[in-house]
Amino acid sequence: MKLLVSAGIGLAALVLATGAASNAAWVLAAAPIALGALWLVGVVRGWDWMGAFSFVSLMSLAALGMWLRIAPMLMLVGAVAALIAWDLDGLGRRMRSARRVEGGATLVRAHLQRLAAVAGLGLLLGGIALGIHIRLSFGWALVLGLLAILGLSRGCGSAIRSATEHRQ
Amino acid sequence: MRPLLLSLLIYGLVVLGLASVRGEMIALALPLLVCLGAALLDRPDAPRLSVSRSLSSDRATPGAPVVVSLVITNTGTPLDDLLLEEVVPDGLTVIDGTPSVLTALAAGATVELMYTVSGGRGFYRFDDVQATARDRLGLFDARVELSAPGQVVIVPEVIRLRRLAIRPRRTRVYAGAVPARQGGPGVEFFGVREYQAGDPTRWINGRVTARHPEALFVNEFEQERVTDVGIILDARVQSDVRTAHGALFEHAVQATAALADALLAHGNRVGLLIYGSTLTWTLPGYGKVQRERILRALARARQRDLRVFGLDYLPTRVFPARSQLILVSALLPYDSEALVRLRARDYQLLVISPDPIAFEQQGADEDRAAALAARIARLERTLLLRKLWQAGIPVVEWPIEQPFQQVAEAALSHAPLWAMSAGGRP
Repeated sequence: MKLLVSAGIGLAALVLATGAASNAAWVLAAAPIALGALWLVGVVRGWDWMGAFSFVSLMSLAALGMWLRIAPMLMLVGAVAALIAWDLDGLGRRMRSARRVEGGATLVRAHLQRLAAVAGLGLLLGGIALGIHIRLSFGWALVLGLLAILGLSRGCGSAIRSATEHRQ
Repeated sequence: MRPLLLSLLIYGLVVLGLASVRGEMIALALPLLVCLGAALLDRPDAPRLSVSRSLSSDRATPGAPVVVSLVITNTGTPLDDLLLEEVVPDGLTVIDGTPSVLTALAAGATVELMYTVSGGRGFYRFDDVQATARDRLGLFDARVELSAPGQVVIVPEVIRLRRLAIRPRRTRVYAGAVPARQGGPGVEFFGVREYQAGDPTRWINGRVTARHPEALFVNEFEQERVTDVGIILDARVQSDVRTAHGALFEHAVQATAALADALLAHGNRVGLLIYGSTLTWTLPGYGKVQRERILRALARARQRDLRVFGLDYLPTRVFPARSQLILVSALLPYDSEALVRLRARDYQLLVISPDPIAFEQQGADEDRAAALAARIARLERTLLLRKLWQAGIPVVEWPIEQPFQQVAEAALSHAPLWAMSAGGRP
């Protein structure tokens, strides 16, 4: 499991760094490498907080790359790789905390299948979104933005609430 | 926490994209949104599980292994990611296996959680098993507590004592091993009396008869009977000493168990009072059942915060008047008055006192100040013990480094306690 997590972290850091380096943004290229190295140390040392911190940091770097219009496709791939690494890190932690895993191979396989589907779909949709350019007036953008925020608020809120309610 | 983090990231990217009218930001949020959506669609319902617990033994001795087995069956829908965790009671150590398992459980399938624990004296209650089902991405969970009660009592180790020579003022009518201060059939010589019809001729005392030719005289022996013994265990926090070697109280508990075992083995009626901030009684009784009751009470014994002895109102139902009381206590300086009052109420009192000073000195740094402090404490303790001896209360001082069996047998197996009760040092 550690190997899979390390591979995900390495991929995310390398892709983001390559994207930045291809545009000669050296500082931006060094940052994901440093973060990736730190995350790897955290995985080895068992620092649980490092996963969330590094994931958010790598996502922020990808967003910064997007903002600076530095290789958007690579930034998207880097973000998806960071998501995969974060997810696998979480699975690894759960497996470690359980100390005994029964049917571990089946559990990991099912998880990887679902993750691959999610990552593939996310990458596909993100790639399509990057290719589509729609011009919206300010009014439409505002209305769509409000709708998106309201929808997200309700969706996430109800999901978190229902997860809490299940804790009997 | 994980869904919240993901939601915040999506929020941030969407808001940033809308505010800056930059579609790339929203494109970056899409994989996260897909992940959150997939987890939402897959989020589990509260798992429906049945659980049964079995223990290899509900009674054990300190350090003995107890195997805990939990069989959990899924009576609901299939669970892709199920974490089963048991909180092991404080004081027990898992020595084999693990009390948690992560597994996928199909409908109707069963998983067994088996582990071995051991621990020190105590009463341990197993409560619920926590089951957490997660979606396949591990973002959302549903947690239930599965009721699976169980308990194990770890009774103190019992040291076997061969003989305890106690001499209470009152005995019961049944034959036993305690000298009853009355002439009759027995082993020990008690006195001489005039011959009565039916007396065996081998009891005739030739020397006395020769001095008194007008009558025959026979030897009389001391009857041996069972008696009532009340054991009082001092469970006050103030009288305990804790060091790196453990707690003095644990030694006191062990001594109490040994005394109860030996007294019950000789057919006596034994009761127990654990004296902390509350009084915990084990009513007097005989035999193996009573031994088990006392051991279980000792397993549960906990120390409480109480400064003084207030044993002025001992119910005679529990400790009959003139019966033998054995106090197991490290003793505090102000205990003597209460003990003398007990003695004045005609109880035959014996004190077994684990030595707190020697116990605290074990392994402690031997600097000058500590040595002086120990010397002063030793003087105070000697004065306290002398006061008790003068009041007719025999005290058996137990230096913990010596086995209790050795100390008890040296002090109590042959020594005439009636002599000690007159004020002599054992």
